[in-house]
Amino acid sequence: MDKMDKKTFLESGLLEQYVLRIATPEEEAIVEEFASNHPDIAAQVKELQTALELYAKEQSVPPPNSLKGQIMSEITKFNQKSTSGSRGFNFSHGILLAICLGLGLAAFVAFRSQKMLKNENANLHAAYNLLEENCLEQQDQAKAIAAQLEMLRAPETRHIDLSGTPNAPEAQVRVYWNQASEKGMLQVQNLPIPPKGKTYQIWADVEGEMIDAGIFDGTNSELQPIAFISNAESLNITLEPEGGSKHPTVALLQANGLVGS
Amino acid sequence: MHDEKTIINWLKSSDKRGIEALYDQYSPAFYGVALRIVQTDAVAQDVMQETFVKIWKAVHTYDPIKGSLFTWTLNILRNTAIDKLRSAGFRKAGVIDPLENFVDKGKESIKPEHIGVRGHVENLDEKFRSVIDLVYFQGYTQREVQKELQIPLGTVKSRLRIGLQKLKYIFEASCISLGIMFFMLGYTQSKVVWGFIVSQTL
Repeated sequence: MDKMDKKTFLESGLLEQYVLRIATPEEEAIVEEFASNHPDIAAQVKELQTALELYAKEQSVPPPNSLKGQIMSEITKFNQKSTSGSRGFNFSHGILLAICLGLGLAAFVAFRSQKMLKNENANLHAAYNLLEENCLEQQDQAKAIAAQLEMLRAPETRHIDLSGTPNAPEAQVRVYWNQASEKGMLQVQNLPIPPKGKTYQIWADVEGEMIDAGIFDGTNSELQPIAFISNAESLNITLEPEGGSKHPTVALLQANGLVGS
Repeated sequence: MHDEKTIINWLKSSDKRGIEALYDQYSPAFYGVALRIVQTDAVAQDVMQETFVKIWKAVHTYDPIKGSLFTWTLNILRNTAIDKLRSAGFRKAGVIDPLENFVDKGKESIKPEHIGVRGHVENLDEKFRSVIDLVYFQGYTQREVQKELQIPLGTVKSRLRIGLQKLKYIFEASCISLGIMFFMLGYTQSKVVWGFIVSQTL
């Protein structure tokens, strides 16, 4: 609303409406602003209020004598009700709170223990899986070792010692060769560490043709399987580029031995 | 008689002396207003009880800057009485024209001693008084007054304004005349006293 001047304000009747409490909140704000800026208007508000008070007091009718006692006991009753009421409320509220806290705690503990059990279960499961895996691995290894042992102990298995050529005079490799089960194994006893990018490969000589019997790790002294080649007359070890070759690099022959007898 | 400040302090600190003093000072005015609104003694007494309990409960919301304790408490009384009236189906019930019925009742059935048109108010024209009474004592809005008295809204507004200003002058004048009376009384008394002193010293 635009700012009205004092004269318009006084003629608007807002002041009277304010005092009679029929002004809207916006109108009340306008009157209060005028009153705070103009002391004479503030004084007018007070005068009008006083006039209404005096007017109301002129309507006075003495109430019955018993009314005062009734009102005082009503106040006493209200005080008792509010204090005892609030105490009762607090008491039951306390119990309720305690129950809620208890339930909350129980739920929390249950939740926690359930979570813990879940975690534990998951951990155990993982550990079990690992153990099972290990166990199977061990079984496989044991089986492999048993198979190796069986082969080594088999009467048909022959030992072929391959010895170094001038390329590697110190080289010593033993091959186990079983005609009956058609299995071959090799054990490095002494081989130079292969140059970088090279690997050892073993070949069987069958009627003048070199047939691949696999590559092997020259630094490993364990038993290593190789392919069994029938009718092999001799076994030869060469140095080949990593991954092996289709045909042997004969110039790099390291060791050999006859299968023959 | 206790001053308003003391009563407020008592009430705000939940001291029952506040209610007692409030009752002693204002109950005749309250009862008069309550009777004007609800018409019967029994209901007016209920209104009084409820009002004092409400004052006791709500006194912490009272702000002296907005008006006197009397204005605030009278407003509570007025609202309580009007609520009683409405809940009893006197007003705005829709079956009978409530406003008309109510005011007719007010005019006819109020005992003369309840109307309290005595003293200074006699100096205020009926046309102003009826408008002020409906709004101030019975909580009518200006529109309800317009409907009730069958006069234009502008007239309601101007009657309220002029009536209130007149009321103010009536009471101011009475205060001034009272003052003059006291002054004269004091003056004559002092004259007597002085005369006495003078006569004694001579």
